[in-house]
Amino acid sequence: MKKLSVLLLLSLLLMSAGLASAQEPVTLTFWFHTHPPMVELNEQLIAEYMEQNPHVTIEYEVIPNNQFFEKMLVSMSTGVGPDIINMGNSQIVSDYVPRNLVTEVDYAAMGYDSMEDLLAQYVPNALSGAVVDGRYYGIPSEINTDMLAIYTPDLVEAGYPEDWAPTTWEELGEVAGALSKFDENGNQTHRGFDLVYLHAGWFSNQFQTLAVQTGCTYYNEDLTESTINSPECVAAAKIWRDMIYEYRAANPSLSSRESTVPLQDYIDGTVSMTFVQPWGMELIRDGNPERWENTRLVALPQVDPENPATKINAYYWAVNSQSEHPEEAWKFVNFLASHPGRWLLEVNFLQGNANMAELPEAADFPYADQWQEGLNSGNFFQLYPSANETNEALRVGLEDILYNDADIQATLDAVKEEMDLIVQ
Amino acid sequence: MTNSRSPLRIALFVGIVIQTVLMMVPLFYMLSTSFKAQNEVFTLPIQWIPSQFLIENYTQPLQEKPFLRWFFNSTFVATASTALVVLTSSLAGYSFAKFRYPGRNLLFWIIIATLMIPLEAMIVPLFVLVRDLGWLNTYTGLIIPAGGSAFGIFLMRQHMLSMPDELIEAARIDGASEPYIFWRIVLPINQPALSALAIFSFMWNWNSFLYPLLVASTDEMRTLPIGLASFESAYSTNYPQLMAVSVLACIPVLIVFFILQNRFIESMALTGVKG
Amino acid sequence: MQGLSTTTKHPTPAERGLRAGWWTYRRRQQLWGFLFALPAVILFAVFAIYPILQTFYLSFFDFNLVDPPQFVGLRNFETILTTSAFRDSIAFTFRYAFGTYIPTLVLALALALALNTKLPGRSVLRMVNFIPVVISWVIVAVVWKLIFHQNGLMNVFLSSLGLYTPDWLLSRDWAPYAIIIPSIWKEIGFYMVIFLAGLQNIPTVYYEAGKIDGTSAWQAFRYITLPLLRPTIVLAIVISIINGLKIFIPPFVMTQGGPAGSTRVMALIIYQTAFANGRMGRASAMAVMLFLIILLFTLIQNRLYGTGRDVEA
Repeated sequence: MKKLSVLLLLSLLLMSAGLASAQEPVTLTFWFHTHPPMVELNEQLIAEYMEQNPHVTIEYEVIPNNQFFEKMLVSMSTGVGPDIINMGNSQIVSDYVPRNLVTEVDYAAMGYDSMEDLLAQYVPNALSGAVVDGRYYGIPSEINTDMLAIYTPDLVEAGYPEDWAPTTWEELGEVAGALSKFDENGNQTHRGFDLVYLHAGWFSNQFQTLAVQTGCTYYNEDLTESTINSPECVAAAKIWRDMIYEYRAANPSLSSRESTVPLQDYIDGTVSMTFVQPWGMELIRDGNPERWENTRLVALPQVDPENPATKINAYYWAVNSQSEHPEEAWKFVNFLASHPGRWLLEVNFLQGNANMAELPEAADFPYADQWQEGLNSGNFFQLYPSANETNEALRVGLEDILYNDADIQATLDAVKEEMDLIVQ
Repeated sequence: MTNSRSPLRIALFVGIVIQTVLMMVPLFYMLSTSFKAQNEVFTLPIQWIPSQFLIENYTQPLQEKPFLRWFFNSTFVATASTALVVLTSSLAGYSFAKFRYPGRNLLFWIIIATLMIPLEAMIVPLFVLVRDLGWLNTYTGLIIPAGGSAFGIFLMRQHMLSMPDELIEAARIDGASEPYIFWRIVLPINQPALSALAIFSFMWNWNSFLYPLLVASTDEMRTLPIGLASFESAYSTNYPQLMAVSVLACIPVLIVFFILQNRFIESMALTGVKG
Repeated sequence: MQGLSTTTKHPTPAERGLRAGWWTYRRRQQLWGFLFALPAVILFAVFAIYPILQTFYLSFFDFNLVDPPQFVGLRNFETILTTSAFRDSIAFTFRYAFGTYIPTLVLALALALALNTKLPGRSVLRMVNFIPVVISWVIVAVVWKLIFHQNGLMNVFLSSLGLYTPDWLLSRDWAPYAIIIPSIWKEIGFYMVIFLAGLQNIPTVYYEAGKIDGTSAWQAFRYITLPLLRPTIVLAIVISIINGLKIFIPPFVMTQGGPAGSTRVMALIIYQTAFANGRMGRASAMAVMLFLIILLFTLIQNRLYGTGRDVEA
């Protein structure tokens, strides 16, 4: 009798312990960068998740973009980072994984029976931006390639056909130069084409789009030495530089170099053509609907039109290796990733889902085929170490080339010196 | 110098007026821009008086970002640190000035030597230390490490050296305890120097940047300068709002300055010349 | 104390009481003295001495905050001294310090001299120059960033005079001035007050004697004011240059060290190396260099001009 009651008591205790831990309140922290439409959808999804999971509280923080990479790395490195992060693919592979700051994708917590099952939800390329030694570390929040946005009225005004699209960079440069406007003193007042000059990540990202076309890599294959001063890289830098000084299409002085909304200049109408990634469509539409109505997206010009090269870059959701609730964190990541239609529609984020074409929202997604094609045929840029440092070193050199028309070879030689230190 | 109506004096006066205007122009620009609409900021010719006074430029940032919290943090941290600085500096200054014990001079000179080393040079290990103590992103982490001031110790020692010994001796003979002597005799006598130190220390702490930048990682714990910098990077092209929050951030210090003007400047001079 | 005498002389009860009392009195004094100094000593030991020693220590290691530090000997120093980034930052830091404080001190002295007379509007002048001093550096940087905007106040002013209007924050030639000019604006008031205090310490008898002898204003300045002001001037130079070498906020807020690294001061490259690039060891080596440079500068100053004032008790 006594044994039985002891057993009963024990099992009651165990059950209540089980119940308690199942309902134990959990607080998760989630930090992400400042991208207004994404911030909005994040906030909605967080609210919905908390409603559906009352024992979970999610505290989030929106980090200003030009501090984002440093702040995240330091916080994570010093053990005060959030449970869930949303980070660029090159940073995850080059800064976070080597330092063991993020955990492997926990497919079980996300509700899958195996990693293969999870991968089957996506197109082949989707998760490969965050894979190291065959292990996966992130779930894609956005996968991006670039297209060229053209504001048609400006094109027509300068006498070009409505459906014009450049096949080479020279063609783009010449036409864009014709679209530029100057005042009586010869100062440029309007730009035919330009990129953005925001933080180091931007410089690197845009440069990479050119670099994949010329065959430039930042480092050699074994990552022992920098190849940033190779003829291919000089050629890539020259494309950008020529837009400013040769074709007089672009002009950093006129660009708002600090906007939170990267496409602000295009939205404001001070530039006629620029690079755009999928999320850019939503930004333009949101910022200036009329502008969006008259925008056409075409494929980028190519250095070698016979052999086009497309660069992919992506952001991933990942979980802090020091998180106290990694399973809950991955559960939440799964929730975030389970609404591809909403991401597509409200933020224009492509997430690389295998079934994207079947999503109801895909029907209204502009240029869906081209974006999908880019995803399928494109490649991630060379994965290089110390993303922050590399990007900063490159930025310093690019600023000199682009702002001050410094000699490209000499400047890139100096950048190589910096980058060599990174891989020593 | 020369007598009143000479051309030199007039030229001097004109020069002074020009200099005054030049010094105030940036502040006036800040104030003027703070009320403008975004598309009016760069209109030519320059409009010193805005055509409309957009109060939203002031109210909107206050809603977007926890300015009041930042203000509170700055006030709390600066006050607590200043109290700590004044206390530790006066105690140590008194000790170094009026007591003799083995190692006294060595301790003093080591502390003074730290003046030579900029915070920037030791920020890395200091950061790691604060992290290891678990004080990152806490008030403790913001206050305690800032509680010692080599400058303060130097200043207090300098002043206490000239305190008459007889007063202290007399109190001792009367049987007063050392803490009592410190609290009731030493502190009151040195009050001018103490308040100079307090003003200086408060101002230094209020404006300190690099250390709180690294220690306070969330909006809740940020002090005003750090919050302002983060606001600047997030809203960097919204110039009117940026100017508006700058104006708001100036106001507390300016109020204190105007009230204590003479004291302020005297304490600067005191610390600069004697210290 | 007293030597031993051959004939033991016993102290009287009174004497014994006094000597015994004196001994523990002394001890008690020492204890209290030490106790009073203790809080400050502890704070310094933990939050100043220890980090400083750690900086020296870490400079010989590679440390990324996550993995254990790895010993690399002098490699960090070799790296930072043989590549251009840190060297350039040293050069620019000096350029900033002298470029800011030479004009600042000259202007501050001129203002102090003006304030020392019976000119009307003196208190306004004093206040107006001191306001920038009390305003936080971040505010100053934010406002002047707007002033140096391509279409900001500075270029409006310059173009109204028909002068060239550079894109200040984008040009590696002009960006340094965009940092220096606000610094002068902010710092004048502080040194003005210091000089004023120094001037007011000069007894007027000297000037009166000078007047009797018929010396001109310029002579009075050169032979009375300057020599007697020398300690203050020396102090101002030392403090100001050291502050200039440590500057952080203006380049951080206004240019982030750009464009193309042209405004990257030492404090900034240390911060970026440590916290953006995660290279704590290398940043520590840079910090050691910064410290040595400041030390060297102070020693040179001492050698050249003497401390100019008494530091001893």
